[in-house]
Amino acid sequence: MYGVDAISAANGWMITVAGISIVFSGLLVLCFFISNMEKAIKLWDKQKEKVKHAKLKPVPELVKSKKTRDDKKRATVTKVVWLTPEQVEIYNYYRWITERLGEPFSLQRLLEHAEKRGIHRPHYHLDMFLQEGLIYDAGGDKIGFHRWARDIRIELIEDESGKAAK
Amino acid sequence: MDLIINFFHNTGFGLATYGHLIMIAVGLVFIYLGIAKHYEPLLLVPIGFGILMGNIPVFKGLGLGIYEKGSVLNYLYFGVRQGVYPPLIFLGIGAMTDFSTMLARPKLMLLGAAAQVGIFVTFLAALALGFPANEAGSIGIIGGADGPTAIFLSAKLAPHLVGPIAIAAYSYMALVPVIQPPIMYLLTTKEERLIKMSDPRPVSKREKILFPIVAFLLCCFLAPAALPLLGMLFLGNLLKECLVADRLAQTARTALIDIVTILLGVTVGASTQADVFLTCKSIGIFCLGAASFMVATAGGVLFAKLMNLFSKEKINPLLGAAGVSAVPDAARVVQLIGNKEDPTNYLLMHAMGPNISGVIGSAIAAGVLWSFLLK
Repeated sequence: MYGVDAISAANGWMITVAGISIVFSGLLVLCFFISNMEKAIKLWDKQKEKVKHAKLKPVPELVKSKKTRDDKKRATVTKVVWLTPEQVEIYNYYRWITERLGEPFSLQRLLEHAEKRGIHRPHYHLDMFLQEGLIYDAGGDKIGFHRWARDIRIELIEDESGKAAK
Repeated sequence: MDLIINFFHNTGFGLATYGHLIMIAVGLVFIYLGIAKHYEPLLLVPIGFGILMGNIPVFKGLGLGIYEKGSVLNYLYFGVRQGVYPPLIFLGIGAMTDFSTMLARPKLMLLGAAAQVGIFVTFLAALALGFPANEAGSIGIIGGADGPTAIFLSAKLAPHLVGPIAIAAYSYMALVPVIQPPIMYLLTTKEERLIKMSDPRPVSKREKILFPIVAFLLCCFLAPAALPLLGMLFLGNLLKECLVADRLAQTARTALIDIVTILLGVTVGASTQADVFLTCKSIGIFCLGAASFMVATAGGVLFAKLMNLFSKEKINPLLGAAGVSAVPDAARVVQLIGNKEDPTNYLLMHAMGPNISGVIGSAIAAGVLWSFLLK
């Protein structure tokens, strides 16, 4: 059998229409998901931030005399650094890498790991963290090695317009 | 004297037929194209040498040929016959693919879907020419421009056609720079080819980690038959992106994919024995394969033009041609043509989106055809 008859006999039209529809709907659903993934992640971060801030709310008068752990944490913070979501993410990755490397860590090794893991613009971000004081030279007999600053708090910039939007 | 004459009759010189010589010539052309012309050398060199291995005339019964049970080549061919190699190749592809260009501009994924029209149009054409449905499906998948997918599906639906289909798929993938440009020029105007794309947004690491998990779940719930291919593709990508399994990702994208490519190339090449390969069917497969590549390219380009009618931000319709999932050749052709029109227009990065979504689309299409046509 040949021609249109052969196609009809093998259910060709139905398979073609169903096949094209499934491929399109599969990629369409994926496209919809990807388009909204960034928004969903931002929303998640916002919620997380809200929960964090809620925990840091002023303590009621009655119990104020007792020093909570949050109070102690706030008392040690000497500087606030504002970072974009991308910078926060890379900051977290750098923290994660250095947890494995151990402190104090070598900047060269940190960069090697960052490059190997495909972190976006690793040199730029490392330079920024150094300039902001998030990473400082360990000094003493560990000169040339670095540590994370403990007295700096990271705050998230909501959008590209920066702190002004906050 | 009789002993010497008998010995001569059992050598390749005595057993050779015109078919063997023709296939050896084909194998040499493949090796030449791979080495001298740099057309997909990682594929064409092993396949070409496999063709030589498969077409050395051997005395049947010695257990040497690829179709003889118990022969070494037959054992290696198991991976093709049972569809083991293609998913392993997909694992490596996943571990070396950066999906960020696709994640940055998801609507370009639809171009990857549109290019899969080539698969189904060729399927219809093969049916109309008298091929049985299972063979027509295997021929149609050549239009997906994805060697492992084509081998996987034909091994499931029409195992006797794996050789010609794989050779056709890889030959046309190597010929993408020759097949695609005329169609792209024919279907686009100069103004359209000059359209510049805006820079894509940066994609966060978390998006890259979430994507393979969710994409796997969505695609495989929709087309479960695509599980072996898409499962391995997305697993490979998750290994790459999750940062904590770097050693596995490294192995998948280097040693593992190289080993499997060698085995796949050699056995597919060796499966093209003259008596199996030199048939009228093979000629039909080659003609339909070329047509499916052309239809797929045209489908992508025309769909990009259609999208331009409805969207504010115009897309360069050349990107549609990258929906044909020959990674990264189709994207490279888009870049070359766009760059020829305007040397400051860089389309490669944008073309990788539809190119990669084409891989996903062709795997879904293979799953769909498999589930519809499996008897």
